[in-house]
Amino acid sequence: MKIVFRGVRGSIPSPGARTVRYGGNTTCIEVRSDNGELIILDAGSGIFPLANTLLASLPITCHIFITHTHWDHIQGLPFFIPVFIPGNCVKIHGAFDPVNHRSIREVLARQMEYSYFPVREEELNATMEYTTLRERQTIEVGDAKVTNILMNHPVLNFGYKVECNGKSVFFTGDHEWPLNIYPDDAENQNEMDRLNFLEYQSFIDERNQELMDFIHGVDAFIIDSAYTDEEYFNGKVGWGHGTFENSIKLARRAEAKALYFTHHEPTRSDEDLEKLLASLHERFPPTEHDPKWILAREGVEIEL
Amino acid sequence: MQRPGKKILAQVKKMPPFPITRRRILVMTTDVNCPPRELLEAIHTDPILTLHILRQINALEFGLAKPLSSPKQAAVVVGVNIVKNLALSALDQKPARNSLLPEEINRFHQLAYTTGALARMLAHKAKLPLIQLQGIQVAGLIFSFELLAMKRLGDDDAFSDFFSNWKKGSLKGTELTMSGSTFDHGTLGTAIAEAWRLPEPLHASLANQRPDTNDEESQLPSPYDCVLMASAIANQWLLKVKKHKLNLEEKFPESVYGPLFDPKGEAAHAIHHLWTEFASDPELS
Repeated sequence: MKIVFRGVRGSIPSPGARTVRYGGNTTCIEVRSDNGELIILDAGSGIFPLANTLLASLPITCHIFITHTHWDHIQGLPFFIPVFIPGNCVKIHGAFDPVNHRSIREVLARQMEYSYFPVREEELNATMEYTTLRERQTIEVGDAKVTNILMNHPVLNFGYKVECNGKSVFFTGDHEWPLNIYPDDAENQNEMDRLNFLEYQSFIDERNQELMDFIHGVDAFIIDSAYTDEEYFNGKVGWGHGTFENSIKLARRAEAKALYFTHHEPTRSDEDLEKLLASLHERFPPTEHDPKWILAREGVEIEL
Repeated sequence: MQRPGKKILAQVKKMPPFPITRRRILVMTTDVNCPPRELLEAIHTDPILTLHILRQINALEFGLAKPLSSPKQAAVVVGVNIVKNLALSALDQKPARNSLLPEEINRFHQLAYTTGALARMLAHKAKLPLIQLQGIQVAGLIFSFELLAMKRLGDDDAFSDFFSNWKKGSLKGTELTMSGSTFDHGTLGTAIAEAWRLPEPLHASLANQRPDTNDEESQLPSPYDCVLMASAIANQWLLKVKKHKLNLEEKFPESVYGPLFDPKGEAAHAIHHLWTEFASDPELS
């Protein structure tokens, strides 16, 4: 299985000299199974450069798995050139919108309405197929299979695990590991406050264990690491994103083989990212059992 | 008794949350940094809003691998913002045609809130697993939901009878059956629980049936026992008959009664604490 990062930036495309090495495109990951099946995780602006590489091998069939429908994960879809060309087959998978009661097709079609884009979804020439996924539903894609799990974000977000011939990769999409909404202060709390804390923590512990069981032992763990702990606890709690420090803890707990930090904060320069990685190595000295820690970088190909 | 059809369930689905909850949540959500704790606790006082969120979360098309039994659990699994937006969508519901009188709303709200909070405390006292407590609180909160639903459906006589009996103190413990009603207590609840895919103990609570899975040989009270007993205590407490003997021994076997309720008055103390808390909240009281 091969993985190519096509977009690693969070929130908004951030081109320019400061981001030229790690890249300014928003989230898109190309995955190729051993038999060459094309699986695309998210359709941020990084899907446009991917589309250009596909033009030499038309017609194509591909499966696009959308983690969630915030702009930075879908904004490239109207520019995914194969959808305009007859003979291609594009199969899109994603979650139901429980608040507005919309299928994945209805949600995505809206960004191609008259006000936003000149071509309507109904006018696309490729064969378009949509699947609104249930949690833990597995989709077979040739010799690979893709299974999802719900993550914690301000909109419904699926993390995806792709497995092929004994190798696996897990991508969180955007995810904030839940915090207890009650303070932990055993010495000064009355019985009811303590109960509130312990009860909420039991939900968190159960959910984290389910996620860890799902991720355990993956060869590549690609995780939203938008912030540092310091940034997170100074005004970013509840924004739906993870931290570098927590990603390291989780990768260790999941016994992942390699950890890829992604969803780089849009104002963070290449230099900032590298300084940050160096400081993490100082603060959390890697042990021999640790996964490799790698900053996801646009264009880099990984062979599992 | 006839079984409620889809049309009736659709009407129940359209029930609006209590006006007081609506006001509180609309005000607090004007602040984008509204603390999740305040929001979730406000939701947890309203049986209609709580049920609305659980119905949406557990809906087939949403496709959760495992049904959830409380908005707090949902906040951990799918995120607080989704729970908030589901709550806001419920607040968009138009007021019901057969609106409740303010007095009726108040009484039902008190009964629901008190039953829920007591059920949780009793379950904790009975040493049931922490992870079950919120579900048990919600089960208590929605225990008498179908009474409200019948009012919504226009079964005014049955509803009035219930409140009239309640005020007179002639409802004993768990006797919530309404004579002359279109559906008996539990029939509508069963239909709601099945259609909305509610997990235990919520299903048992609405259906007013001991769950099949309950082990009769068990020495521990079941979640449903806690809810049933909480309902009995709340009914009597809200009639302000603090010294009234509850006669719980007659209604529950010793194995259930023993761990939950002791003659030294610990439970009574807990109820008093709860009531003080409830009464000191200017909005809820």
